[in-house]
Amino acid sequence: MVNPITYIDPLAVLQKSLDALATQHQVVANNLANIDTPQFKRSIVSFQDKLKAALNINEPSPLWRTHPMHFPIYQQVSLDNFKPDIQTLNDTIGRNDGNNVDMEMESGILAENNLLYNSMSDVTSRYFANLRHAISEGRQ
Amino acid sequence: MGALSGVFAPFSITASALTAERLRMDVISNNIANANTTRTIQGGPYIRQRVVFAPRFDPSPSFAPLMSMMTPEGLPVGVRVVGIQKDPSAPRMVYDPGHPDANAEGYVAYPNVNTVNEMVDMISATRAYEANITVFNATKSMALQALNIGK
Repeated sequence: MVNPITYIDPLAVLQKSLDALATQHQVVANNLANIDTPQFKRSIVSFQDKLKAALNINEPSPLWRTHPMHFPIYQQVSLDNFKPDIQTLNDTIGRNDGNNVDMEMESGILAENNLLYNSMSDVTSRYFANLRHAISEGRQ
Repeated sequence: MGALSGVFAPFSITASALTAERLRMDVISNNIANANTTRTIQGGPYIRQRVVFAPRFDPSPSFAPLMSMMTPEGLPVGVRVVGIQKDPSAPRMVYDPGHPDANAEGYVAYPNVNTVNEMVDMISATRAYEANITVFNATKSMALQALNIGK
């Protein structure tokens, strides 16, 4: 089985995941800010599965293949409308005051999110370093 | 884009929580300081106070699409203190006929402040403050990391 050729703009994927991680950070910050607010319900952000699904669109390109052994060409994946899902968990109760924020859990998400954000921004930096490398090496 | 949205929103969210927790700490300190105050300007003993927290919402209309995902009031952007409430519980009556504030039966009305409860609240406020400091540092490290993209 030949892998279909799909054009995905790497920068778009990096941008969208950095945006989603920043949103997740904001939501965790808000959860922890409201740790002592009665009746407050925590929110969670999910985007990984959605992003994965958005990158897996296998719509055939309108380009013709003149031979069945040619690589199949697929359409460009657009992430313009991609947005992380923010969900408020209204159905759980953590404490007597109706607040369901768990400090340990939020700290865990915060640490994980921070690491992910740092690694994604590192990858973005490398992407630009590659571009710069291509530009400067081409000059010589 | 105001301070309540975008990359710098978590700073504002955390700052609101730090302010709220500090105010809570001030109120707790005041309660402990006045644990034995038997007379006030309003008359009667000091009455224990407590802060009331509520989520803060972003009123900016630019967040309309995100708002629909959250709550009808908008994207939550931190916490705010809606007020300082008086504890309605009864004062502590101590028999001390020699006290200048003693009533006809010889009982003195002491504030309804339980120092142990205040201490527990104080620990809770400290921990919440520390958790928000952690968030603040994480936000700062993320913002610095983002600034380094492309360097």
